[in-house]
Amino acid sequence: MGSSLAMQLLLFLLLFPSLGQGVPWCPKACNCTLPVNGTSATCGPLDSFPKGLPVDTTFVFIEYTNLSQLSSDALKGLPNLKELHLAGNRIDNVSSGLLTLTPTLKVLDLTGNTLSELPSGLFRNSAALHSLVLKGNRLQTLKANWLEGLVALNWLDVSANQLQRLPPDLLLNFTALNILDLSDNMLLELPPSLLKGLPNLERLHLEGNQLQTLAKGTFSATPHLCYLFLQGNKLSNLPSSIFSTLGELDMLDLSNNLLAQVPDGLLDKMGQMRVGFDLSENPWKCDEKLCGLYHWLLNNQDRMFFKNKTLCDSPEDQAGQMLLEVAKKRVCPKQ
Amino acid sequence: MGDVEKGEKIFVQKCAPCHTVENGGKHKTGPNLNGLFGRKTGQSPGFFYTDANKNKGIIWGEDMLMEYLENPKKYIPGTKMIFTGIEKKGERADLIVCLKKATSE
Repeated sequence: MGSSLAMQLLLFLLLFPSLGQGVPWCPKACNCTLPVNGTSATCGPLDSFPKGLPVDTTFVFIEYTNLSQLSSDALKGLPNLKELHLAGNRIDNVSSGLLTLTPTLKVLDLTGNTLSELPSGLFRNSAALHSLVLKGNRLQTLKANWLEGLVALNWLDVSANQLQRLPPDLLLNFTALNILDLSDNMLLELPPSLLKGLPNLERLHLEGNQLQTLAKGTFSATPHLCYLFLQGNKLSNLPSSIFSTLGELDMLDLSNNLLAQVPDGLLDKMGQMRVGFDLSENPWKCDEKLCGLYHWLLNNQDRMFFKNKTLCDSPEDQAGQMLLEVAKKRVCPKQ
Repeated sequence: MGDVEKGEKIFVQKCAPCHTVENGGKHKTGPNLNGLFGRKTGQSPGFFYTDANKNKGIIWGEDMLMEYLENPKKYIPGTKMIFTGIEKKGERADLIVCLKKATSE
């Protein structure tokens, strides 16, 4: 480019600092910000990946439009890409080579597409990826080889899919994983060893599934878990030791399940519950078998969410009473 | 009228992974939200916002948040925020009531 043309371009950019469209280096379907830390391109409406994005592009937003095809060389020429936001399109498959040339990718958002599977090896070059969001797709399962290469993954969101069962080896060696979201699926059970390779897990979302129980030892390898969401399942019984390794738990949500009884000591070894706990919307059977729970409740009542929605379902003479009130009145053997 | 207790649970579940609310709270994936109400978009000091967010140019209040939190990406195309939104109006109202309280303490 001749220096006078460069000067003209510079003058043009200086005079119109926010004008990103119609500038020669930004594709027609896109709006590009001026490069400061690399170009940020927001594109659409369109139905195919725009060609000609500048080589310094770090952020690409193509959302809520009709993108359905992502060819394997779609991201060719974007070696600096850090974040790829593709929510709300019609992407039903991804080529295994898509991310080969974007080793700096940190964030991939594929929320709200129509993916039913992922190719194995997709993330082989994705050692920098820290956030992967697959929420709201049509995944019925997840295979370990789909996730190979995600050594730095911090946040994995597979919520609102159609997951029924998960392979036990799915999450081995995800040592960086802090947040795992499996909510709003159709999970009938969790393999007991599912969380074995997640020593740094801090948040686990399992709300809105079909879990009837949790296997002993499910949380034995996640001692730093702070937030555990189990509401809206079909939990009717729990092993007494299930939460005993969770000494740092700040929030436990067991609301909207089928819990009538819990074993003695279920909640005793848990962390401080600094944020709170929710036992509401369960069919509590308020007899003497719940004495262990009554005792714990009285010691932790200031952190109890929805006290007036945590009610006894039975026996008849307790039905409709607040669990906490029964705990206060019931004469239990000394603990 | 939103329910603060419900809002608190929604915040912990859906917002707390990326945002703090208290005065002096740190930025995480998203900005600290203290002082949000009555402030223009993209102004939490020290956070690197996208131009899309900074240039939206509205002042955050209950009505704006009601619209935004239904689908943030539609309200601010080009936002980095990864959150599909809260469909139920009642839940948004609960969250907003909680936010108003927590971000002004």
